[in-house]
Amino acid sequence: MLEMPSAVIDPRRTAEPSGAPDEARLIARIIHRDRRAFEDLYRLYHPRLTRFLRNVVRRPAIAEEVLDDTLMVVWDQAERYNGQCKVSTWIFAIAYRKGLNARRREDEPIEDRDAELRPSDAPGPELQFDRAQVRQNLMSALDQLSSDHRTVVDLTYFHEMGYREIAQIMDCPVDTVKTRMFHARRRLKRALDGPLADWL
Amino acid sequence: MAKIIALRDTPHQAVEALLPWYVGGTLDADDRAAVEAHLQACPDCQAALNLERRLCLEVAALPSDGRPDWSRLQRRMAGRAVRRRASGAFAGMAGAWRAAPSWLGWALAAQAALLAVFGALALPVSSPAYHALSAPPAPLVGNIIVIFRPETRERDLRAALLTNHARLVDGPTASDAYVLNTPAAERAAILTRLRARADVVLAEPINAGATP
Repeated sequence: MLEMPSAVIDPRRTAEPSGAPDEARLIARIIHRDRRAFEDLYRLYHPRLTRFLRNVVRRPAIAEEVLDDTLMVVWDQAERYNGQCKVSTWIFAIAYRKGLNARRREDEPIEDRDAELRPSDAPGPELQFDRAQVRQNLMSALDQLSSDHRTVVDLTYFHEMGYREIAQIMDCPVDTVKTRMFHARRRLKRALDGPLADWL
Repeated sequence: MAKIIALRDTPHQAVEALLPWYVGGTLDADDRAAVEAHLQACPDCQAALNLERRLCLEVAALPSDGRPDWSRLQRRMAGRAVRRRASGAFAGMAGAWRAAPSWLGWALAAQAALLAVFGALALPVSSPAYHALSAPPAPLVGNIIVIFRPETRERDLRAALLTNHARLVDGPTASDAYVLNTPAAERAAILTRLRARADVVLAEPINAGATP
């Protein structure tokens, strides 16, 4: 079977809510062991879950393993989706739980809590940032965040999820989501524009 | 882990905390109204909103690699389907075992001993002559389950397999059954022949070859 090039699917554009009814229909077909529906769901979610799980666990091979484990749960237990949340919330919550289990087997780097107290490594405002520089700084800053902080950032900015949905996925209070985002943004903004942009 | 801080001490802080989701358009109506009302009067939050939009765009644009590998997941699905069918067949066998004559019970130990000899003889047969390094051989898939009478001698057991072109895949199970691989096209005939043997208590198909 031909592999669909990943570039064909823009994960942000296939995000719910516009895709929600279609995804619910896919789940209904998967309950009846429709392999084609499952393949469609797999291709829809692979890019999204890949990105998400790379923030939960660091090693790409483990992220792939967790991704497959997650989708096998969907295949085997699709009837457990009760329609009371979005399909994406249900699937991401499964992925997150499995990611947490896998993370315990990894050597998770300890969050650098003092990073924000030190002078930023980013060039000052006198230097014009080019895009590659910004990207590099952001990736570096994301790397210094804890998995939980990275996950909240990714679910908010890339997957365009609300804080309540994120709290459901991560099984935590909404204030925890907001707090994680608050700390993460402070770090990331320093990476974006240097110390003078850190107005917080 | 960063400590939880109070983000609702002032309206300004509460709104500032909501800006990421305001930019993403995921706030509910009440939150959105509160943010928009505050933005009208707060130059700091207006500036923060601009930076927030830029941060959101930059983070969302960060590269993410990883290509789908549907065939890998298909292999897992196939493996699971075979295991599920085999498990179902074993459950059916358990019922047959409960209905079997009581004389079968005493002979479990004897047949286990038989297996040790039988297994030693059968294993080399199931090993291919060579392995290509890049293409491991596909595992044998069972498509028949059979139970022999406990007094069956090893050479009769072996003859039953050889004459029917059957290979041992697994066994004895908890029900003292053996899982056999036989040529798919001959399975029905082989089942008939096995059931006709005096030393066979039970022979049943496993539908492992079917597409789920």
